[in-house]
Amino acid sequence: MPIANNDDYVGSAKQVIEWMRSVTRTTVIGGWFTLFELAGQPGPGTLAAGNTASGVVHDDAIAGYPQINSFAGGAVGYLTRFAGHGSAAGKLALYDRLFVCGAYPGIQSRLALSSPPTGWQSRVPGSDYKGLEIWIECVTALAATATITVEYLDQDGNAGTTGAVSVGGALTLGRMIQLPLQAGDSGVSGLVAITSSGAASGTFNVMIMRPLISCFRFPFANGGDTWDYLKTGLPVVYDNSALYPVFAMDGTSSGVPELSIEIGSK
Amino acid sequence: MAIASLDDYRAAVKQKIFFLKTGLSANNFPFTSSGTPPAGTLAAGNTTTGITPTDAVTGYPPINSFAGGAQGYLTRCDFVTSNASSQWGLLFDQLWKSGGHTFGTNFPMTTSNVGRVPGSDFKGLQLWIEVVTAMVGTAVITIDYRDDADVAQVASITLPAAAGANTIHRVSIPSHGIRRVTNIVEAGATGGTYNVAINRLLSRINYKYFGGSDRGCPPPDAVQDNPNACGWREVYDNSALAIYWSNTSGSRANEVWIEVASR
Repeated sequence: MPIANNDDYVGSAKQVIEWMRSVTRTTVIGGWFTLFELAGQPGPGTLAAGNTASGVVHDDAIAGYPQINSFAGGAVGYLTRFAGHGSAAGKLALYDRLFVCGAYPGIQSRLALSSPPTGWQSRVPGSDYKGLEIWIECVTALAATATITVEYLDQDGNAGTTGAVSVGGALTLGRMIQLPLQAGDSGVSGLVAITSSGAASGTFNVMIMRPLISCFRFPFANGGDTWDYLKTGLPVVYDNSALYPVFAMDGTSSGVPELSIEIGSK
Repeated sequence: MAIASLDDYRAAVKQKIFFLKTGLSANNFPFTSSGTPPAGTLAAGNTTTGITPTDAVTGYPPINSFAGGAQGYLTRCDFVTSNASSQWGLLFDQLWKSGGHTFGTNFPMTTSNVGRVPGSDFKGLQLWIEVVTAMVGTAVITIDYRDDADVAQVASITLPAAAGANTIHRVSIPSHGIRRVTNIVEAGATGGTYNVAINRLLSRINYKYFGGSDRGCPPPDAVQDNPNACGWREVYDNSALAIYWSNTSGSRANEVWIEVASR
């Protein structure tokens, strides 16, 4: 049964995930970064996907993601409240990290994925692939600017490509960049092949991500905010979602963010 | 009976709880400061089993008993500060604490799982250090604990050099939560005492105005003025409500109005 009105929300089963990182990462002003493998609560994850041939489906059972309690039978989960503060100013977005493959070297001849798993597609509401995004993230620092091409299936299952994207500068550990889709495409339903060139050392992952919220601000050092469900927009969350906060800071340090993520289910 | 609708909330029994503390500073737990509730004793007073703080302990605000079978919720939480340098506050139910532990000593702990945990879901519980008397040197505190899944884990924190009395420091735990502490040891300091606390976060309040608010004129986003904004966090009628603050500079006064609704 979905949450269809305010009383549904009030009466919903709620769980609150406390997420924090206790060490900082050197960042680039305005550039997106993951803090996935840094110490905190939950404990650190492993940044490299560990599978370049097919990729893997990530869920909340994998180290580094917060565990989500199972919902009652037939219940639908939503992001109903989001609060946090950080020791450095910046913004964050929260994703469900659906699929990841890598880590690929900075020079990679075209590598077609072999029978990539599709289990993540059960975490796409209404099987509507529009709005899903392709990202790369730097697993080990790239020695130079890399040019990366990701071939994919678009929202309707048609072949698409990002084209050769120069990711601009030698990416540092944890740096994330969203890749553009082909003209006319609005989503992603699968990855097909990865190609890279230009960086003699360093590695990166490629991911399919579903955005839950964006532009949540830490307006100044030690500042933060609280969003109720009218601000989160009630995006659907699954009880095995791989919740993945990513950060774009106003300065050159991630600071140490702390988040409270409420999931209501009914 | 739970509050399952806004009509339930309207009909619920509501009580207001008030905090007023002065003399605050950075990353501070003003438990020993005068004000409302009155000053308590920061040292937990037990270093072998710890204690379960309740509202009956001096320093925590008293909470009226709920009617039989009623469930309590945090439904409003307003923060007011005398200066906008106060940038965040964390409202906790303090579930367990031990101390004051002396530096350089090993403390095996005989403890049970903490209580007042809704659904016995220990995920999200937080581990904190409260410095009781200022540390001399740099303290490194290592804590053995059982995590939310009852698996043995170890957490460690290095405090800032000469960490001051009443400062608070969150310990990063390599798990989703914590259910009890089994051992505490410090190395590196040559003086000072500290508590170890397990806390359940109820509310996280942020002051949005930086450099502009006055007492009596709260920054609007420091007011969680409806139950939805508070997230309907469960509160018990013996919860030990405590507030950690972070002020960037100087000595400040903060007020907090809390509403607890039960039905």
